[in-house]
Amino acid sequence: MFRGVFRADTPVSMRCRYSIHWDFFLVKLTIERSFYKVLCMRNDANYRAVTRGHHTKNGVLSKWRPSRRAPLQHIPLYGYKVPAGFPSPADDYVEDRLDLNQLLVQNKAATFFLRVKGDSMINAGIHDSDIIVVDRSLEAVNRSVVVAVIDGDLTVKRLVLRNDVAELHAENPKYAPILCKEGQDLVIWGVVTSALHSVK
Amino acid sequence: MGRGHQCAALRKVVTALSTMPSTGILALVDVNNFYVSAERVFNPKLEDVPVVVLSNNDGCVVSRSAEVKALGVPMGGPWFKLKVLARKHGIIALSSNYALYADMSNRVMSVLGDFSPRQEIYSIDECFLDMTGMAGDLTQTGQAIRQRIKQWVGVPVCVGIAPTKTLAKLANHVAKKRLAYDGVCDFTAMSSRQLDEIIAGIEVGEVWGIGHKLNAQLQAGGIQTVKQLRDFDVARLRGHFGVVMERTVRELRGEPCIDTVDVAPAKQQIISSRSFGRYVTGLHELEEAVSAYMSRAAEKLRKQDSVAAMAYVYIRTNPHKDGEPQYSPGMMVGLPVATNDTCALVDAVLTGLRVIYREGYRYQKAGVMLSEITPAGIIQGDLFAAPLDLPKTKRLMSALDQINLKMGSGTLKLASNGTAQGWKMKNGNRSPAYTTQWNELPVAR
Repeated sequence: MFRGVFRADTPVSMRCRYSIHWDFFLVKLTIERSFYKVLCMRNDANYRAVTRGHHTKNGVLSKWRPSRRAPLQHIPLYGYKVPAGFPSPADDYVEDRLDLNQLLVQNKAATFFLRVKGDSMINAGIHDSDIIVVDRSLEAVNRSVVVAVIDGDLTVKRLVLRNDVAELHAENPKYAPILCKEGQDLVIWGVVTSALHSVK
Repeated sequence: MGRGHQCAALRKVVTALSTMPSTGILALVDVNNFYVSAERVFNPKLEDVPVVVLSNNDGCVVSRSAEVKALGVPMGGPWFKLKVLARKHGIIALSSNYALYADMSNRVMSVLGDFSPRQEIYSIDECFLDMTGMAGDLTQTGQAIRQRIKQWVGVPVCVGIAPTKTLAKLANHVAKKRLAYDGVCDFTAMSSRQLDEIIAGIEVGEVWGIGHKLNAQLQAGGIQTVKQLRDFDVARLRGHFGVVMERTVRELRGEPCIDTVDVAPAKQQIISSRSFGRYVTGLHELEEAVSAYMSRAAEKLRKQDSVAAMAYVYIRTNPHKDGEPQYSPGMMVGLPVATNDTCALVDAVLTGLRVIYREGYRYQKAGVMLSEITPAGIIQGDLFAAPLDLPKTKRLMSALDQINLKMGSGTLKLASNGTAQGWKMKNGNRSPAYTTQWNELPVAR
């Protein structure tokens, strides 16, 4: 188990994805060829060192910022030190139960659920009365499925960027694309990450 | 609403909400027209039109959009008096939706928590962030905060940055009122001449902690601007107004004096909190403590014949203990109906507590806060009933509290309270609980 505080000059490389839980998170790092999992608290010295340390290029952790995951209901405390390169498979069994939030919600504070009305996105697998998961922290790119504001209403469509002109396409031939005219602002409300469809 | 009086009475039970260091740089972040802004996120049709949110039972104006402020509609004004004006200008009035505001507040606070290792939540829509030692241009950080909250949560915020809390509040005021600042005002980046110029143009009544009465007294004494107050002889002010005023003036001079929030907030709140005699780890013990604090707060609420629509619960580990795992969460819970019923309030905070509680920490302190407080009279409007026998009601309620504490909350309830008072409430224009009820989700076509 790694104890103590990272100094800015500690040669550290981050091998695996870290996961973050509401107030603490797990960093998987390699320090001098040993593989460690380090539990960092939001407020403790490790966190500060990791998030604020000015690491050189060798030290990989520059500009590191934890992503935000939905908090788990149960927070597993893993075994810490693992032989280099081979995380213990037992670690995976510590977790209590799978939590759908973990799968569907990457950023709890910025994620909203919306109800879909209509069949305009049917070919994208989004049906009438489905629930969509919308993450406002994501940047919409070409071909993102987005929730946009049209005439004060929220609408779910596919964003298509053509020569700097934004269009909103339905995924249903019944509906014509919505084109953004000159000087008209297109407000993207959020980016759709999943659709929940009940089969009952 | 007797803020000063309430504050004095509370000072005994108000203990440290946080442990901000007494030197450094602070940012005060608050949401512009919070309730209206929260409504606009889910109903974009409300953008750019005059909107007000009314208190419980649609009694008074509790939040105004910029368009409404421009029409001169006062905060707290009774709605029935404004109906003519509203019709003329097409003001849209919404009933308050505290479930929504509580959720949006929790989102804003959690995003803001990422910007600083120390955060002190001061009310539903404002918090202090410790920016001490942050690298880079703080105005830029402020803009990043604004941008992120706007994008992630959807509401606009303003940021005031200064060495003391009183100055940070003032900087926030400047950021909000003067468009040139684009929502972020950093006093620490200004020369003293620039700062003098700014505060010479601000009325003394805008200073944190200076209410109507003090304002009038200061004005009468010839102190009209913030600059005049700051440069006035401290000893004379203390002799005249007491030590609280002295602290305010010292804070204006950049000397941090207000460690914890014990200044009466602009919006009325009741806080009840205490450090434990020993560390507490189990949920059950925390539940007991939180129930007890809330019963006490509810008693206070009834004593002043008011109801609250929002309850905040927090627990914290000991921040001064090195090497101890730290966890200090809090959660805002919106009541379906503003109430002073102990059972409903305790239920609300216990729900919140169970969400934020994590095993494996040694908790040192817990507390509750009631906000969005309005006179109970507005809710009941009991024209024909005899005036309430207050001591008797109080005895009844405290007996009730004790039984409920012993037997579990909700054991005894006033039948007259009913299970939901919804039927007597006027809240005809309440928006759906967009973020807290599966059957009320916002619709995308």
